[in-house]
Amino acid sequence: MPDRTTRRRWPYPLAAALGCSGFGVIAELVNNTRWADLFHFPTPVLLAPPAGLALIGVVLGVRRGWDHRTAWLTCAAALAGTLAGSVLHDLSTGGGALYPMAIPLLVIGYCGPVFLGLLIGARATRAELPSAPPDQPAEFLAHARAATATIADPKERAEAVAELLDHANSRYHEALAAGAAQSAAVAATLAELGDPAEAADDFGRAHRQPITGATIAILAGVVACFVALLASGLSVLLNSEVTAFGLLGSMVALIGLGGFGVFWLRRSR
Amino acid sequence: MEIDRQLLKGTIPLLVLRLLDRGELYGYQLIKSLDELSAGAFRFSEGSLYPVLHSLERDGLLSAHWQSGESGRKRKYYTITGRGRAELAARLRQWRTFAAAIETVLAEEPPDA
Repeated sequence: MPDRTTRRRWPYPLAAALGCSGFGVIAELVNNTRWADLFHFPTPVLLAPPAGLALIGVVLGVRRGWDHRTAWLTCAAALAGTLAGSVLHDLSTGGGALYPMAIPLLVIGYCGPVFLGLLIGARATRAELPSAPPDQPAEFLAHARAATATIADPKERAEAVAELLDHANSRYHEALAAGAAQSAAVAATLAELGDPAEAADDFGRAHRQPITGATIAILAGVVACFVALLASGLSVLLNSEVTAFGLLGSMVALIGLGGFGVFWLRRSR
Repeated sequence: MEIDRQLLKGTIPLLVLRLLDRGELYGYQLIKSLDELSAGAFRFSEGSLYPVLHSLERDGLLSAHWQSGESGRKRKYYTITGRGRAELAARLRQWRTFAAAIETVLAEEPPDA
């Protein structure tokens, strides 16, 4: 059974969005029952979304290492899911169940657990660098370690070292099979492996997570979320709920349109 | 004839995508295939190939899995994805336009002094 290393990233934001919107829907369903108090502040049930997000963060960290891009997407999806659940609630009750000033706290309460979980998961899978096989010269391991020194994620680095060692081993045994002496085979293999410092630069670039348009859009969306919600909170304080929910609606539309725009731009690139 | 490494470097993603479009391969097989198909003109060091493979995997153009080979050793095999095929088609078009333009310019007779 092959061990798949390229893992999908969409399940994490999807799980966050479904979990958080589902939580809102359940809160709505039990609204007029004896369970309604469970969903009113302060109760332990309200810790379920951050706990679930922390769990998603741990799984993400274990499976993909320090993948902050997917973590940001997961935070944004969790917020979008919560807002969707809240809007549903507001439409059915005709009022504002989600107090606008609480949303900035939600941003912290959601992003914090996701990144904490990510940190725990990524650290838990710290992989030891592989050792050289007994039939392989130690120079190859030293070369592979030097060439991969710029890969920050320990798991990815361990995999890269294993891959380079396998390559060196194939080349070395090929040279031996062609009749080369052991020292000549080692020298030929090292010459073919190239300059480890140059490879380290290239590996560093290949494993760096670039700040993409999507990341900038998400961060801009989170900032817009803060600004809009602070403004709507102020308008609530000034007894203008119509303005408050207008701002909330605009914000949801803005995030939705922004997400669609980023998706469209990435597809058409 | 040895080809300038910088000239070669920019073409590695296109060549890798094209080879993997024919079937899954691991790194060493890729280098050997490129060497054989180009009659020795394309000799990549592992230091130039593996970072490209990892970049393409990070961008979702390739997927990878570890699998035990005939020798029993585990090897990382690469496969092209749907996005990779679309990228390959785009890069092929780009390359053909580029190569034709270069040929046109090089074929042009220099003006008389």
